[in-house]
Amino acid sequence: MVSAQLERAKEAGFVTLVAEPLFGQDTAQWRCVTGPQWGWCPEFPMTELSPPIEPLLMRVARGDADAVRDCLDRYGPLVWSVAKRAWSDLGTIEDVVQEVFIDVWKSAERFDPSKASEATFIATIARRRVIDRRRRMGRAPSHELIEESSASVEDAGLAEVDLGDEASLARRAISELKPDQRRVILMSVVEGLTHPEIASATGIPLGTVKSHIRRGLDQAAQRLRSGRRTDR
Amino acid sequence: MTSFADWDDQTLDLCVEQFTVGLNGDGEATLGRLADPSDVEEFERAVAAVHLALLEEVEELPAAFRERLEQSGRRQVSLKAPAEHAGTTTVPHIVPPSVFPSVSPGTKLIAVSGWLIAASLLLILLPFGRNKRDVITMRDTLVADASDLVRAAWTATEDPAAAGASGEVVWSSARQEGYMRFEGLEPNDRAEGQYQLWIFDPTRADWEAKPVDGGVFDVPASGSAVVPIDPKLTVAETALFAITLEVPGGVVVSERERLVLTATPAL
Repeated sequence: MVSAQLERAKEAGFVTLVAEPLFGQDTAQWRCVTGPQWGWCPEFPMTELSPPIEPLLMRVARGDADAVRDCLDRYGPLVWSVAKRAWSDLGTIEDVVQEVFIDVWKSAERFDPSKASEATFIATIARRRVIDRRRRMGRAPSHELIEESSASVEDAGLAEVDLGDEASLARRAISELKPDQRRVILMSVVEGLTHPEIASATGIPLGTVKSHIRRGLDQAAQRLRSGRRTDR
Repeated sequence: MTSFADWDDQTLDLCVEQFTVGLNGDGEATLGRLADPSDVEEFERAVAAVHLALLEEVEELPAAFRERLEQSGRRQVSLKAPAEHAGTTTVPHIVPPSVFPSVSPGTKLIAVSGWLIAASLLLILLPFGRNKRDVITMRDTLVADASDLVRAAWTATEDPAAAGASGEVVWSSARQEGYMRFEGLEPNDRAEGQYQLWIFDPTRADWEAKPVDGGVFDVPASGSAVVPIDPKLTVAETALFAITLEVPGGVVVSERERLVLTATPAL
């Protein structure tokens, strides 16, 4: 039954689909990865799905100005949120977000749906900008950020935010980590703290911090790779 | 192809550092030797996916800011179509984007009057050479197609790095695209310092104090280079282009200690 549905979806123009169990439910739901709809597709039957739609970044690449509006609708909150976790100054956040989207418009031609979702592609650009700016402005993590990340670690990553199939796979990999491991990864990846800063804020030995981050990210990377291969 | 599982601790550590806090030039070079670039890129995407997975909530863009973003984005994107028909393609920048603009409160600001005075004192104009054929092709396409092209010759300051230097800058605000050409500019040692472009946009608030960062770049031993401009903010108009020599990686705000070249577009 499932494979027949999958075949029909592929024939209808869905490049890739991932079957993912709903949280707390036994039934599966289909999720379009590079196909016509981003996010959770309607549950079966697949015939209710709309015809294939060109990925947004491909529209950007061929000069469709309306794709800018759609792209900002879909990914603006993502980029804004990534920048906002890094800085509290509104001017800096706006500058970074603007820089990210200038890069997105410029590099849309490089988007390859076989390698990453649009959300991951854009998040990669956003992270480069954030890391680069942090290095150039000097590093000064606030206690507020450290405390916030520490306080929210238990729930981190469990929110139902539709951000792409890779994020779902990564979320699954992270959910398998111990709370301390998740905590340091959150502080490293989202808050951008250095290893010594994390060790200082948490009291976890520096070597353990490094090990947690290394192991967690490696595990997520391998999970994503195997997920993508399975998907092909 | 190697896999992440095959990476030794050093490779994995470098990769983690690169995509969490960033590596310096030496670290990047070492990572480049140790790992397949496609694996490194895949790892970077994985870190981005982890970031997405850890986002607890997302917040809408402020309406006024979103409107500005959309307007500038529409201008930038709508100009891609003719470029495609012309057969052009995007090529990598000579220097990867790695610098950022904007001015932090309380930091020393650049006084444009000083730049303008320096510009007015200069008079050298020489032919320029070429390198990086694909970039030159893009530059030539821009020069041929852009209806709003701004073109200005570099003039050298008294800085020793500029002795005998010449070239020009071309820029299209509609396309948010531009290129610099240099001849005879002193080669830089990336470990010691890098050149950085500043664009003075008179439509921006406090523009004289806060020029737009146009990117950092290197000049090879030949002294000749063609460099794409990499503005970190949208540039609507150009009153002055200026090149400084800064610390490796560039700066957010220039102290203007090494002003090397300037170019003033005709009114």
